[in-house]
Amino acid sequence: MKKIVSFVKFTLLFYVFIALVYWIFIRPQHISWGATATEINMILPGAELISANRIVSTRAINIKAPKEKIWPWIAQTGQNRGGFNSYYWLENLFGAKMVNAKRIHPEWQNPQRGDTVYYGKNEGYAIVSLVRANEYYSLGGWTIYLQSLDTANTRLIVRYPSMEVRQSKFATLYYYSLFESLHFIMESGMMMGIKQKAERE
Amino acid sequence: MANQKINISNKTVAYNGAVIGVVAVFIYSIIVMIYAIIRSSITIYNIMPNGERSNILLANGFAIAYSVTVFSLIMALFSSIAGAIASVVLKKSIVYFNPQFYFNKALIVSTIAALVMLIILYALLYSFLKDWMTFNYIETFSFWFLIPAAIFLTVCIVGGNKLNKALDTRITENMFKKNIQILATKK
Repeated sequence: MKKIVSFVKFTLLFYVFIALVYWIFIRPQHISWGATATEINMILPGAELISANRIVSTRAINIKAPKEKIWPWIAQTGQNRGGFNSYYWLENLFGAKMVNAKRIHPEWQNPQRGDTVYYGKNEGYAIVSLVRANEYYSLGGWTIYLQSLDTANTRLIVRYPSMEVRQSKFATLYYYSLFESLHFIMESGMMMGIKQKAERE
Repeated sequence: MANQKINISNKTVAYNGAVIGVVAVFIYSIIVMIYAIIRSSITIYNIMPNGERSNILLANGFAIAYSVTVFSLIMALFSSIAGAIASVVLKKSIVYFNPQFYFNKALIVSTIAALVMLIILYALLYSFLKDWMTFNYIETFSFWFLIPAAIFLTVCIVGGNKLNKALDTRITENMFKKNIQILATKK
């Protein structure tokens, strides 16, 4: 039993180490992963949908493809469409029933303002608030923005307004302890998934 | 047998059960953590170019580790309660149904007791979660219920037998001490 108790103590120490590294070194950079100062301060479409008391993340990635090759993968975003191009096997541990499309589906290429986009099967959903083909796509302020660097390279910028953490102590605790790290994993996964598919085309 | 005094208190058994429950969650969590980090890292490695890779590999790895840590601590709370209750139920079942502390019988008693506890717990959970606890959500069901059920059963069977052995030893020791006392008094 002494060995078992020692294992518990060792694991708890390991967890403390992970939490410290995450909070001191990782979190400050993942809030703006890949984004430049200009991109962080840039006013993106959908900015008017973001209330003042939200923690906003801005992340960016280079894609070796023109906007037109990237857009089709963004257009078919949603559990009820072509998935989120992220780690579907992680999403499915939480009942999402996510399937990432492996090809461009013509029937999902025309998202409209007011369309419903599901995050998981029978789970939460968002309404498409802004959409402009080859330019941007926004779900209530969660904006995916494409910026041409040249004819063959594009910058994919994603801005996410978090939940309103000042609503309650529980919301704050949930946001900092779980939601933020999970969202980073899934959102960076989505950005890399889009990059992989667009560059493969 | 009913008159035999069991020297391992319920409190001790519950404490040990709670600790084992926590250990089971920690081990499962660490396996999940390693799996998720390796699988996502392979994906990242194949997508990101040199120079941009190490940053996201580290950030992703620690973000996964941190998320699993939080889940693990939350689940450890529930698991410790389940472990404490299960171990006391196991002790009572062994003492009642297997007073001679036979090894094979302890195996059967532990298995049946664990199955009964599992059925009761899952029936309760099903009344809240419904479809999520079915094969309609195979990954969710396996991850949150099927694998934990297998771990619970294994821990109960192994733990039940260890407990059976410990109870047997304690009783034998007590009887031995009593006999020595009786002999000493007679002399």
